[in-house]
Amino acid sequence: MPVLVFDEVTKVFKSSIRGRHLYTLGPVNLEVERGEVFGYLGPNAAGKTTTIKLAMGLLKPTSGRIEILGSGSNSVQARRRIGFLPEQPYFYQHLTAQELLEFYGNLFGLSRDENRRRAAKLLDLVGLSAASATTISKFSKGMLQRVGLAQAIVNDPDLVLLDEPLTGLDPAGRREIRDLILDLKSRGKTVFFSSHILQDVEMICDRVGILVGGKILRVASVSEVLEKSVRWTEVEVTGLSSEAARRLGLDDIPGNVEEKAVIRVAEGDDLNGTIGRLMQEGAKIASVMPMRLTLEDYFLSEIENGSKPGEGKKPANPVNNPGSVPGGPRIISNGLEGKSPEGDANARTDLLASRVRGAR
Amino acid sequence: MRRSVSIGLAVILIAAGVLIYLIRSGMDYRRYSADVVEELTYYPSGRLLKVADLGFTSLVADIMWLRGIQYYGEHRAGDRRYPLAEHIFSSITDLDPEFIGAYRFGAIVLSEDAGTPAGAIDLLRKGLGVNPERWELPFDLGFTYFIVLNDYARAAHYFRFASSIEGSPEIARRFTAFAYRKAGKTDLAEALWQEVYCSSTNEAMRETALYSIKKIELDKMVLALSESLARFRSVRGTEPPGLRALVAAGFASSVPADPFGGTYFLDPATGVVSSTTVAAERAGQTQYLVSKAVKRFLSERGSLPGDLEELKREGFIAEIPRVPGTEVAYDPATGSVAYDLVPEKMRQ
Amino acid sequence: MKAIVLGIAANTFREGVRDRLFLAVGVFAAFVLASSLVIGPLSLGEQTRITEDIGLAAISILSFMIAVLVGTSIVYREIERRTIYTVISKPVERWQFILGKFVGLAGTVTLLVASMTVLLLLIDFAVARQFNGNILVAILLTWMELMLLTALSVLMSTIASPILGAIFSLLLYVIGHASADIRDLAVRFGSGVLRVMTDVVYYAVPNLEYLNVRSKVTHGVNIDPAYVAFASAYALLYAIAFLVIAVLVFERKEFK
Repeated sequence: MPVLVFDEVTKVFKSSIRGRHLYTLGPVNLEVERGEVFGYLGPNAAGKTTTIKLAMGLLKPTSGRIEILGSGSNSVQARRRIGFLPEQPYFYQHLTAQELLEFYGNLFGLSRDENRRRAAKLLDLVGLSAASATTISKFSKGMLQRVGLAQAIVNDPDLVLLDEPLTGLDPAGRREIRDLILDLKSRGKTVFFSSHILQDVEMICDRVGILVGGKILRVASVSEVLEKSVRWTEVEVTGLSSEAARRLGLDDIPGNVEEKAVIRVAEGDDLNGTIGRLMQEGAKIASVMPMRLTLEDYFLSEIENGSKPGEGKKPANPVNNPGSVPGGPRIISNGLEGKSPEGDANARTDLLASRVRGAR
Repeated sequence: MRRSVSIGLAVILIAAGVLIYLIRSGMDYRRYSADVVEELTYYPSGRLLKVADLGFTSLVADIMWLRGIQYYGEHRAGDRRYPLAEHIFSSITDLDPEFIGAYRFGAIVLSEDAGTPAGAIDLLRKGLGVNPERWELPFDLGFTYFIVLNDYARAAHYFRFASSIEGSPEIARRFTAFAYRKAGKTDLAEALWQEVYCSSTNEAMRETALYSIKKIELDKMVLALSESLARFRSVRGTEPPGLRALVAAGFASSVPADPFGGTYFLDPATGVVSSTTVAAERAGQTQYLVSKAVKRFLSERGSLPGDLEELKREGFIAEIPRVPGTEVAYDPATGSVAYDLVPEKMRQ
Repeated sequence: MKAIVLGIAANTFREGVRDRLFLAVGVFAAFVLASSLVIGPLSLGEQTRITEDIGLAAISILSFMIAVLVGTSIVYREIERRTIYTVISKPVERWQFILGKFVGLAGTVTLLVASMTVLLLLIDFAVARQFNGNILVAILLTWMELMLLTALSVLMSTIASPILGAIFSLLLYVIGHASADIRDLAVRFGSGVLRVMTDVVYYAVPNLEYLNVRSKVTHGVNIDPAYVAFASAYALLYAIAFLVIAVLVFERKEFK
């Protein structure tokens, strides 16, 4: 049962004076299922905030239909069960945190006592109990985001819409908000939030939608996206002598690889065999780490390739897919530089690789 | 928002607009039948205003000027009483002492319409005190003394003062001479009014001047016709049947229309020459006076008089005035009094 | 439902208090007292009237300034600062928001007027040694005028920036008080396009002079109760009209 539906929704922005066409969002086709955490991704000015405003009735769609908890987006009563946190929120500066939450609670018709209790409880939940009597004008950005989240759930809503809830927070703050979102999910609520911080989306979302330049490129489940992305293994070894490396066909990198070398083994290649041969040559295996493309890579590649929007499109080959280089394992760093998959963008010869294959 | 609610709000808006209009009309009516205090607050004292007007003196004086003209117009069409005129023009000139037009027009209203020439003199002298370089002010003073107060000595004094001011026109000197010679009053008066008519840009003043000139012409004609009539009587020894007979008999050259477009006639009852214009004017004034007496009768006795004789008997009016060329009609049912021009009473 | 309007109103009111608007009352009291004491002895026996004149004028002007300056930014600021998003996204009807804002501001202005009135009455009593009840009538009509201006300011706030709104409100105030002169002007135009235009301005712009009985009161004139009723109804109708328009505009507003 979808709790939020966008059906062929478009929003056209024209300049107010001449009526010149400025920007169009859509058509957006999207369904958010009950109980899921949906991440709405996109670069700045893609239209994420516009989408959320359309859902909340702050804007009216130029065409299409929006259904939120079974009602239209302009339904005031539907908002009883909805929570909303706008981007870079600003609250009444003259109120204290407690007063602010009580103000919002009052808009839902809570009784005075219940209102007060609930406000205190929410402040505790978001970790702002100590600041309950502090005026908002003195709040830091992190505190604002947290009190913002608190006001978004003051009515214990079924659906929560958050616009960039993690932006501008330090890692500790982001962790807290992520935990809160997961906590909401565990209590059966649906969370829809937009972000351009991809690691966070990756960590907590069930599904993700990618919006670029006003158009939806892709809607898919996170696990599905990540499954399809390429995996490889990085083997870190020490004590690999240069001769041994040469023998294995891994002498691609100049300099001393004896202290530390990181070898990439593509998905199809024989991992165990490679490890065995390394050990035979006297190298010590320091670590074996399976790796995959992050959502960020996926996202960036979608942007680069994505000129055709819509669902059901097979992900295009990520540009920087090191695994697609034919052949076997390759050394990618000697531990002296940092290792990164993108480093492989520089074309390296695969002579070594073929030699190792040949040596098998 | 639901359509029905939108429409509902629009209806409320329209209803509010209609009610506003209604209240507005009602309040305006009440406002224009003002009592004295209300009027007074509408024309606040110039001196107090000057403190409060925050540097927009000239503008405030202008607004008061407009109100002053309005005041004059309303009362001229109404009861012809101008109790606040002195206050108004004095205030305007307090605010803006260099507003020459206010002194001049105020003086005319006070001397001619309100019948308080002393106020006019004061106003003009105040103006002269502040604006000694303006020839118009002593000139108007001369005018007032000559025409209204018949004080020829002072008139001459002020005319001479006016001519001594640089830039004063030729007529100032001429009028000085006239005044000293005490030339026939009507000639000088007419000449003065003509000067006012030609030099003034104030519409109301020009109208007054024109009216006065015509009045003088009419009087001159009546005088000439009366002289012809007297000669006829002394030579022929009888009453002429009408004024045209005077022309036929060669005692008068012609009987033109009067300057207001009316006709001259002979009143058979009194043997006096008059004109339909004069008769109409007097009829109007007399009608007003008698009507007021009737109203007083009504308010004191609780009912209307049966006829005008009763009004006179009961002492509400000394005499039922007669206006040459008219007949008075009284309707005891409504209390209305009418003096109607009756051609049978005019011998032309 | 009423709780929502009152909730928003209370918040607006609290904002006003914390903005220290009520300092104005202190300024008022000091000013009237000082003027009365200084000018009084110079006024040849008119000290009472002058005290009342200055007091009533000061109440009118101070309250007008606050009503317009605060009112014209009240909605605009919320939209600009986006505090409005978290309110409008709750189950709050758009008209409730406007009404709440108006009630809050009206409440603030009313409290200001009330406190200044009490002070004026005290000062007046001290000077005159007697109580001029008509002052209350003048204040009542002044208050109605302020309600009208507050509603106008809220309307301006939904459609224009604070500066533009304040200028327009001030213009309406000046024209509203010059209404009678406009009527005189119109009559002199006779008929024609200019006359029609002037007439439209005359009838559309509220005649604020109806609500000004200050000079009469200080001259000791008693005001006819029927007049008070009609004038109050007049102001009330305009206030309602302004608020209705504000709601109609706000309903259609898109928050980009």
